[in-house]
Amino acid sequence: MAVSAIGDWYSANNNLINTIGLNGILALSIYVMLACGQLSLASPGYVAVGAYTAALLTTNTGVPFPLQILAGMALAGAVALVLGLPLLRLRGVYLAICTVGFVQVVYIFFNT
Amino acid sequence: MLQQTFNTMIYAAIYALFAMGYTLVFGVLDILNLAHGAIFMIGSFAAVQTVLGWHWSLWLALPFGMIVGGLVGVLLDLVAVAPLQARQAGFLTPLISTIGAGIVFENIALAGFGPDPTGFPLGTFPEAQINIGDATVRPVQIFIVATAVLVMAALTLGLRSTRLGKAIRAVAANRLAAQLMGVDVRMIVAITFFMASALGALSGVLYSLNLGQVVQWDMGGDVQLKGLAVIVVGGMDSIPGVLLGALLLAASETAGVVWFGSPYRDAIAFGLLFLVLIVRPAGLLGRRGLRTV
Repeated sequence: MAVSAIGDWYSANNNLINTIGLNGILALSIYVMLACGQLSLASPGYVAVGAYTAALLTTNTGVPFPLQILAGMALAGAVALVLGLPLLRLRGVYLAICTVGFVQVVYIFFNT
Repeated sequence: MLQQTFNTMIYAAIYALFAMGYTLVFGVLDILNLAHGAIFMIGSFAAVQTVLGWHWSLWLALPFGMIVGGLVGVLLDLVAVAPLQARQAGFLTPLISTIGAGIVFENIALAGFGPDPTGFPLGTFPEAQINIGDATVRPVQIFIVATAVLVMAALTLGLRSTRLGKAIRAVAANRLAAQLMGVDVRMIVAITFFMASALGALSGVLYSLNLGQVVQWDMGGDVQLKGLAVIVVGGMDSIPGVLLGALLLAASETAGVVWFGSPYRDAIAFGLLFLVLIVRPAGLLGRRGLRTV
């Protein structure tokens, strides 16, 4: 009885709970940068890289799910490294601007 | 080649008007207004709405769009910027709060007007084809460039010699000193937001007049990046820099479309921005040094 009530509650609020979890992880990703005193707005771009990596692995190969997660994280991290090395010289508003631009480019890249 | 030169001028005019709004606000407040793209969109919607829904003429719709955009800018200042400035919150928090305000504006437009693109009906501006050599220009495009030149000239002169312009420059140079000299700083900031946002809205209306069915809730995203590229290239607080940046961006976009094809038009803005930030972070004509945290 109690278990089914919890199940009902979960399925009714499923979307909300997932969104809270996802946004929490996304916020952590921005928080890590803020902890170093810099605002990077590039996170949505890494979201896209990770999601596309995992999705393409699912549809094209039989790689198990945990490996997909790892691959998505690794690739997004690699992209961040490539972007970050030259951007390390920038601070403050300039870093924010450049990372906003990066997200727009990722958007264009996956759209074309 | 002549055609490419014309295309460059039209886009440079639109980018320059848009980026001028960034420069005004950044010059006076030292903050980046990332809701500027949303105001570009709101101004376009306001003007299109008066023409489509209420059958106004364009000559009323254009100032109406600018006033609506300007008022939204003042609202943005009151809600998202002024309370943080009063608390000495630095540059980071207003930047984030303007992103948030932009998202709110975009979703209001999405709820009010739906997801489908709209635009000025054909013939809002008299259509004709003017042939110059082997290039074709539409009257509306001449109007866009002329408007941009006039507005920029008026703005430069106004900032240099009117009482209001001097007050704005005083606040930009030193907020505290201006306040001590009897300048109403709050009022000047609100007026700056109004002017900056009216310019953004004007740029949006001209952009929609040029391209037709492009007025949509998320239309500000692309132009936002381009405006950022323009001010970074030109230097964050320099008006001649905005002109130079807009011309450079429009020219490299036009060249890029010819060489690589149109999907990469928006990536060029980022490439230019990236290059200038790495090589000369203060911008080509920026007077101030690189701001650090």
